[in-house]
Amino acid sequence: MVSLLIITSVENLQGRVNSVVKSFKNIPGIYVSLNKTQKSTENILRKNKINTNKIFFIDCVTSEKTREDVLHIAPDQLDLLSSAINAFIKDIKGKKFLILDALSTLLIYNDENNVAKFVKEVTEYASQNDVKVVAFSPKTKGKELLNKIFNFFDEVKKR
Amino acid sequence: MKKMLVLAFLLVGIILAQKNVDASSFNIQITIPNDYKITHPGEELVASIKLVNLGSSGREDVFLDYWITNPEQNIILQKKETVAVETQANFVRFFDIPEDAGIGEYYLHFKVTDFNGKESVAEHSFEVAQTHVDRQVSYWFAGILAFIVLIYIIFKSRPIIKKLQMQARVSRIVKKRLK
Repeated sequence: MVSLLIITSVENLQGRVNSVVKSFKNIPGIYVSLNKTQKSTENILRKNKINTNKIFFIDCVTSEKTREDVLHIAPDQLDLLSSAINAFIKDIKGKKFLILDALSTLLIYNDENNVAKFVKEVTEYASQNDVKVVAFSPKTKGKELLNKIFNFFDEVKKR
Repeated sequence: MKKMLVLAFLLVGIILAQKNVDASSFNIQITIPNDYKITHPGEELVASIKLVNLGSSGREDVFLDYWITNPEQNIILQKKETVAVETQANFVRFFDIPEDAGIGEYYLHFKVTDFNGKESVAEHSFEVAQTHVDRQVSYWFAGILAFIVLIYIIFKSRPIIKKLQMQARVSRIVKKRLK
């Protein structure tokens, strides 16, 4: 399994994210944070005893630069976001993972087809580079989008 | 008596021949001042013409024909006049180049015809170039166009530059964190 789409309720979303990130243990990874700021996400992960030293955050919520090693990309700049993800994938050697939390947020800022195109690009590039991709989406949001992107993932789990 | 008649006949013949040679022997010199060698549509061409009657036998009227041909050899302007020439004559003539004249190499042709119908011809080339205003407009237009192209290139390359900057930043972050 290279790519996985997890569709879950809003209430369970963070718990699912935590358990997935925890499962990667010491593998370096990229975390695209679309729902919370990097600071908030990292705090939650740390509270759950997850080592974030090898996680590279892309914060799509705030543009305020708090740390040099965190990228801030506006959620409507899908090209740039895709390019940043690809750059991380290219530069991190060996095994790595990619978390997209949560895809449906992109629908607030972008057209559904553009989001689908972005997902396709990212999952394709990830699969070519043997990156484990886990994307999350709340159950209630973006049903049309989910229908369009199902096929880009190797596995879809509804919990 | 017979000898006298032959001699007289020869003398008349020589005089007539001499007269014909004199009448056709006009030397023409056309000079276009440097300032007018390159002219523009709607402007004036100035030419100085010097006529030398090599076989001058006194003052005589000659017919002058001027015409200008464009690069396609079409006549765009024509003038005629009669002047009296003794041994030599100098005159300056002005020609209005039409507003719609195209650019290229033109020729000013000049022909002198004496009362016997003998002709001498000369020509001089000059250039019709774009008007200063046209050129200025062209420069402005080219400048504005270049500016627009530059803005367009900058505008179009901004995302690329941004991506490259970001890729470089990602490389720095990854190196720093995973060293």
